[in-house]
Amino acid sequence: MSGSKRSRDALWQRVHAHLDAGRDPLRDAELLDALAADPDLLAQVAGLVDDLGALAATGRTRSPRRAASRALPWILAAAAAAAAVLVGPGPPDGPADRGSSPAPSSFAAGAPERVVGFRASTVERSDGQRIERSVELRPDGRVVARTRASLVWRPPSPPRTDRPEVLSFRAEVTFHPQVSED
Amino acid sequence: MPEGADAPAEPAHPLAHLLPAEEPGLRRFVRSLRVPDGEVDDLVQEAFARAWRSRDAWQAERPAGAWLRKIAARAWIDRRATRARLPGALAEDVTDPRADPAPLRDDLEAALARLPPQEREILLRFHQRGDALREIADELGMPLNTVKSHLHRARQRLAEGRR
Repeated sequence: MSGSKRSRDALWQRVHAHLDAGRDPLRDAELLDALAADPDLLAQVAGLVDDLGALAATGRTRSPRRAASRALPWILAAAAAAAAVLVGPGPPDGPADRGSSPAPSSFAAGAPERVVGFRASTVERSDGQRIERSVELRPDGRVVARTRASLVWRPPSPPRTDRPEVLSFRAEVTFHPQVSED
Repeated sequence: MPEGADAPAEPAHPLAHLLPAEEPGLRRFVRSLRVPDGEVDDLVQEAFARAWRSRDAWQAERPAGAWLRKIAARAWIDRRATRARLPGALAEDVTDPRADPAPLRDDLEAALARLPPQEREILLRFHQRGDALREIADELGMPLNTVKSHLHRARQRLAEGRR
């Protein structure tokens, strides 16, 4: 086997590894550097990536934004409920230290610590898109909701149901470090 | 030399004659990278500009076309990297929520039709339906590695058949 053939086979293996894992091989800077030296192979890979993206798009049957709008209310509800439980009276004076630390077990018991921030987020995948949504309750009382969607390499689940798949839920509470004065 | 006489013309660099002749081939290469129509001219010009700036590095015994393709490939990669760093790059990926599923392009459909049936089925299950490799292996009663081999061959056939 020639060195050139071996080299091409190695590059293809790397391309396949990315595609098998649902990643875009053209985001691998090292791989691109190697492909730059073999423009014909680069063109093949670029064409393949484009074709597979087009193929994935034909499998998309529903709107991720509509799916997103279905999930948003429960995030808001969770955030509001958590905030209602967690926000307590703050210390009478002194600057608020907004460091983060693990949630103390005494929260649910109504300890006097002051919550200065709350953020809940979900990551979903839906018809070839990765959708991250978050709701943040800021110390000044404002609620900021964000939705960010990006194409993933292939639709990770077949369009068999009308429900987005929630991959993760994460809640972060930022509070004053004086957890308990008892 | 008497004052006012024209300076002798510097001999033109050999690339000055070669570059225009290479333009059609370079344009075909840039299109093969699936650069949108509106950006092909731009990328070809960028490749020529880079080539001219590097003209002293060009070795006359090497084919100018191959050298230009490498330069264009690097220009395309750099352009992608620059775009990826721009704020809002993710937002560009968001699809129109009102859009229907995209129809399969005729040329792609024809290329898929040329694949061996089993390879095509596995490729479509994985990349279109989004089935997991394990799921495909279970449903087809095949070892996982066999499914992967079919999938990899299908991708390479598709890539090589589209040039």
